[in-house]
Amino acid sequence: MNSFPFSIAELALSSQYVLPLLILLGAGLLLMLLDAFGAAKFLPWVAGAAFLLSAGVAWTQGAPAGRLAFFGMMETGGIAPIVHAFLCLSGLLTLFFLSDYLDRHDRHISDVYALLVFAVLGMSLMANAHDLIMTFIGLETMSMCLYIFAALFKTELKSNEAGLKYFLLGSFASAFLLYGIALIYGITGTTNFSLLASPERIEIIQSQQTVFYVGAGMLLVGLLFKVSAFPFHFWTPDVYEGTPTPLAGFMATGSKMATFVALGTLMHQLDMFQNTKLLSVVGLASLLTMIYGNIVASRQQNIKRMLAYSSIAHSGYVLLGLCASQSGMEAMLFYMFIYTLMNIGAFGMLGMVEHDYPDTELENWRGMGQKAPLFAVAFSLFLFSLAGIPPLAGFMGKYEIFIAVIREGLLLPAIVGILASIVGVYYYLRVIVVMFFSKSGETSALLPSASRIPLAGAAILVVLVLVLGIFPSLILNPITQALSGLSQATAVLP
Amino acid sequence: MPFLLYTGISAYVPLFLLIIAGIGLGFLLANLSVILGPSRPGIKKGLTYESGMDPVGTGHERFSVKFYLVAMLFILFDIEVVFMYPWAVQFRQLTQEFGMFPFWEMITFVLILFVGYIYMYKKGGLRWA
Repeated sequence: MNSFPFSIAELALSSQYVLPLLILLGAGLLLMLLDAFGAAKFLPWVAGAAFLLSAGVAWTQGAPAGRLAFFGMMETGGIAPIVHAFLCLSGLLTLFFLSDYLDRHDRHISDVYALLVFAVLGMSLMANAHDLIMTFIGLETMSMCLYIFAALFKTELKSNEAGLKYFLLGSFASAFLLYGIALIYGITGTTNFSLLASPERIEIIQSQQTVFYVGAGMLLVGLLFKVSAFPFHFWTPDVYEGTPTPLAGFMATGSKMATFVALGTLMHQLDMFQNTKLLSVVGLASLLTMIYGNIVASRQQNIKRMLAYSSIAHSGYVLLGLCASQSGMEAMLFYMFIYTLMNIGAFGMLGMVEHDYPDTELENWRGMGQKAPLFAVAFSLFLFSLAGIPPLAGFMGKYEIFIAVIREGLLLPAIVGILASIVGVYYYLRVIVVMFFSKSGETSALLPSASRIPLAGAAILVVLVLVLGIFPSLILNPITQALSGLSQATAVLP
Repeated sequence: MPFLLYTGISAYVPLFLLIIAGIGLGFLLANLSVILGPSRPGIKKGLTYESGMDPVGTGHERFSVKFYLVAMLFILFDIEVVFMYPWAVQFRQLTQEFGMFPFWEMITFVLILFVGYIYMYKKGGLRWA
C-alpha cells in the first residue's frame, strides 16, 4: 500500500512546488529574529513584502489540478495557487490597518506580524491539503495564531474572555475533527483524498456506512465550527468583540476562506453531491445560519458585534453556494475574495475610529457624516457592498452564489437566502442612517485616525470594491480557469 | 490489495477487547487491594500526598506563569529529541541510501527550532524576576 513511493527527486520537485509556502515560512522566521533583535520598525514592511512576493510567485506558478507535492500530501496545482494568493492578500490588507491600530492603543506588540505570516501559512496548508492529516495540521497552525490574536491585549478583560472562549471551544472543535479523521481512517485505512475516492475505498465505505457517517459528520462539525455556521456559532460575537478590530476582520475573512476551500475540496473528494445525506446537513446548516445571523445582527447596538453577526450570515450564503457542486465552488471562491475586501475594509475602518471599547457603540457614531464626511462615505460604501447593493462588488458576489444555487435546482434555499439577505440590508443601512441623518446638533465625539497607511489601505479597498462590482470578470475569469481542471471524484458514494 | 483485508472497523475488534480488558483489570486490582488489604487509617495516612512534605495552604494557589513557560520549553525540546532519536539510530543506513540529504533535513528542522530559541531568549523568556 504505497501509492506515493519515496524518492529524493520527488522531494526536490515538491520543494519547488511549495515555494510560495517556503517564502512565508522564511519570512515568519526572519520576522521573529528581527523582532528579537529590536528592529520592530521594519516588521510590517517585511511582512507585507513577504505576502506580496509569496502571492506573486503563487499567481505566476499556476499549474493543472492534481500536481501533488510531498507524496500526495499537498495540492499545488488547480485552485491552490489562486487560493494562496487570496489568503496572502487578506494578510496584506490587514497589515494596512494593524500597526496604526496598535500604535493608537499604545500597545506595541511586535510579535503579531510573525504570527500573521504563520497564520496565513497555516491557512494555505489547510486549504490546499490533499490529505486529512495535512488539513488538521494546517487548521491547528492557523488556529494557534488566531487564539493569540483573540487574547492579544492581555490586560483587557474583553480580550481575555475572547481568547479563553475561542481557545476552549476551538480545541473542542479540533478534537471533533480529529476524531472524525480517525474514524474515517479506521474504516478505509487511508487519509489521502485521492485514495479515499478510489473504487476500493468507496466499496469499503459503502459496507461501513454507520461509521463513515459518524466520521464524516464529526469532520463537518470541526469545519463548520471554524466558519461559525449555525449550531456552532456561539463563540463568534464574543470573540470578534474582544479581538483587536483589524485582526477580527482577518479572522472573519482569511480563516473562513481557508476553511471553506478545505470543506469544498473535501465535499468534492468524498463526492457529497451524489450523497444527499451529508449534503442536506450542510444545506440545512446554511439556511439556519443565514436566518439566524441576519435576524440577530439586526438587534445589535454595537457595530463590532453587528459585523460579527453579519459574518455569521455571510458564512450562510457561502455554505449555500458550496451545496451547488462545481459552479458553487467558483461562486464560493469569488464571494470569499469579495468578502475579504469589503469585510477587512469595514473592520479596518471601524478600528480607525476605535480608541476605547465603547467607541464601537452605534450611538456614538451619530453625526459622523458631518464630522468626517469622506471617512463616513467610504465606510458606507463597504456597508452597502456587504448588504449587496448593485454596482458594488458585494452584489456580484451574492449574484454568483444565488445564480449557482438556482442553476443547481435548489430554488427554495435560494429564495430563503435572498429573503434573509434583505433583512441584512436593514442593519447595514441603520449604521448609515445614524451616521448621516441624525438630528442637528448631535455630533460624534469620535474622530477617525489621520494616519496615512490605513487611509491608503481604505482607499485601495474602496477602488477594488467599486472596480470589481463593475468588472467582476477580472477575478472571476482566473478562478474559472483554475477550477476547470478540478477533477471530478471518480465514483459515487452511498 | 491484501492490505484491504484488514481495513474496516472489524479490524479494530482486538483493540476494543484490549481496552475493555485494560479497564477491567484496573478496576479489579484497585478493588482487590481494598477488599484483601488491612485497613488501619491514621491522621498521617489521611493527609494529601505531597512527596513527603507537610501540605500547607490551599490547593488553589496562584503561581507564576513562568512555570508554564518552562513546561512549554521542555515539551518543545523534548519533541525535538523525540524526532532526533530514530533519525540518529537510522542515520548510517539513511546516508547510504540518500547521501547527505537526511543530514541537511535534520539541520533545517533544528535551525527552525533554534530561531524559536533565540526569539525566546532575546524576549526574556528565561529571565526570572
